Amino acid sequence: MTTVSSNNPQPLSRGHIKWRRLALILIPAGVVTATLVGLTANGAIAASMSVSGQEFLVTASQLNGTGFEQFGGQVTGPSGTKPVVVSAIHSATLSHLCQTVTVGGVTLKLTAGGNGTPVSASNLIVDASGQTGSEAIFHNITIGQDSGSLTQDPGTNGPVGGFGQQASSVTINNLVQHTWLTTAGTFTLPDLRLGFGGTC
Amino acid sequence: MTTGDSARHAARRPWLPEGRRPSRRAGGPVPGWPAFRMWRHGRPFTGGLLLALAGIELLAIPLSGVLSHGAIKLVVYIGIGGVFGVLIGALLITAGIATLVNPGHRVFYGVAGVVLGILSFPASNLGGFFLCMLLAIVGGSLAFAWTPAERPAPPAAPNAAASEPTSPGPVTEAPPWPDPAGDEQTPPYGHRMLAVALPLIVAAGLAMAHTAAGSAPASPRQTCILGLICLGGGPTPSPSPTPASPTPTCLPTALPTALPTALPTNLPTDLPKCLPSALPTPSLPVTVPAPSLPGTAPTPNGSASAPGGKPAKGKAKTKNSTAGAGLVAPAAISVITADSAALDHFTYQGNVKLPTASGGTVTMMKFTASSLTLSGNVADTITEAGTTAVTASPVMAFNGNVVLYATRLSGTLAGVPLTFTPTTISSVLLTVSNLLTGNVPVTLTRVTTNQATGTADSLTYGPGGGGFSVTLH
Repeated sequence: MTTVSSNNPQPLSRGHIKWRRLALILIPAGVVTATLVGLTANGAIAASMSVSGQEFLVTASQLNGTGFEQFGGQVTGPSGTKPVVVSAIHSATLSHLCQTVTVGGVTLKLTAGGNGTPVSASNLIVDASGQTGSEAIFHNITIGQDSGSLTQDPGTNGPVGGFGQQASSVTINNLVQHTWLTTAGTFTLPDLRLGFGGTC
Repeated sequence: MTTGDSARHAARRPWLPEGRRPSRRAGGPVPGWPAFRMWRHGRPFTGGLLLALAGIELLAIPLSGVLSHGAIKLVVYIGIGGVFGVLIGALLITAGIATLVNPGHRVFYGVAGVVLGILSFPASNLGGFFLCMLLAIVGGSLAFAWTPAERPAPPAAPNAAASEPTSPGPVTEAPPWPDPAGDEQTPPYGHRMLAVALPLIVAAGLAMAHTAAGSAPASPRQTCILGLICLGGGPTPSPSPTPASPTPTCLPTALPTALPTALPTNLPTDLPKCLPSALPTPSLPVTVPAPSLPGTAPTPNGSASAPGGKPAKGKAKTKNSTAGAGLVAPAAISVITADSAALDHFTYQGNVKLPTASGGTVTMMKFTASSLTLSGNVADTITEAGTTAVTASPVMAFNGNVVLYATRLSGTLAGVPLTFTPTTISSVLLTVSNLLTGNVPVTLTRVTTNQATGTADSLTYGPGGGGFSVTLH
């Protein structure tokens, strides 16, 4: 990146990189990072996620959640304002989670929770522009509740006057979502794999 | 990035200012790009730039779309993870800029950048999906490993310093730091100790981040980071449990006994005594329908709160019931349609005034059932703010303690088209009372329900894997 040897004849004060010093910091940083990534990939450390500003795909073979709320909302994307369905789940587990994200033109595919231990997420909020599944089961459901008065996920409410629904627990099988925003306070991601390209 | 720059620079310099920018050359000693280049060479430019880029990337992921939700909702939406991302991103940008502005402190900023980059992995989107983490580690390391020009060329430094405050500048300006730029003279073991201490710092930081993240799900307040932000959404920690208990204990005892016997005398005393206990929660409108009973009380309507399953016969045109606790009817328009609806123990309970968020009420019919199964092209269509959301499924099944409120319910019962509204339901029910006994399962076809609000023990879309979809227009 930066010039190492200064063979310039001009009287410029040029700094340069000392490779031994670089190694001195890069090696321990690399060790710590590798350990951290390894622990996260085993689900031992919870990660925190918050993605927005583009449409991306999230799939899961099964979602189980407690403290479920759903209401309408809007996001502004490159092509203007789009309506979305906001789903808030206080505590959720997801089996075979797969998520694709495009960062700087590069598509990343993230999978986790595929080897028996599901991904767990807290304070999960998803803004979806579309959603399908094979089956959805809600317990203690309330439909047609003003979205400003929802109570199942404390601290999260929709716009006053909007249509909302909530349930004490939710199970969705074979979930496929096109989402504009995903955020979770904590994500434990056992069996985490990250790759380039591909779809879920 | 700059490998060939010096050669090109030297070659270009003789002719470029004369051919293109003669005026600038006359204006200052080292104008334009050459000045920038000199400035750049006097500091860990690449390292600082990468640190700042890492911070920007980290900020962009949670913030780029969230801003459209409006500033008030920002923190509620991004949650604790987004706040960590914003914090780390802002610190990285600061470290990057500070590295460029104050290269004398590059060791500190470099190490801080590396630590922040590593911390961003658990704290924010896996370190901005690795990119921010890599940029910050590489940038911080480059800043840490950068060394200013060697001392053997002392006359060069004053020349450079003539135009810009490069490396020698801090020497004179910052007395507390003995020789920030001339790191050749500082003992090397100092940095070695720093490098050894780095893992410890990271481990400590990680432990903090982990405990902070781990404690997040424990307390429900964590979704709103600042108490301020939550107020906008209306903090309703437990409105449903509290009103649930006052309603059955207070109202049924006070009203049925007091109303028929001594209306004028008892009402002012009994009701206020009762209400304050039920009201302090934000879900005030829940109990409003009950106090509104006196309004209908003058017409001697004994079945006002009768739990009877059958429709009131005789002269009673309307009958009233109470709404479920915590229910607030939305202003959005909603319609549920289905080819058929199978209703078990379907009972009309009376009309209910459901509160709305705007402070008013909307009169709805209240039905109960043990189960309600809609099947065949079930579509739940919700229209609000100019958009329409449709939830479609072959089957939508409510089970257990089904309570349904609606402003209009239409369908065909045994070949007879029926339309129920709060004002007509009593007379309509009289005509089909023999069909609606409440104990025999009823099947309505071509069902349409308007403004459906309801509760049930369970709701299943596409039971057995029939599928469902939510689409937005």
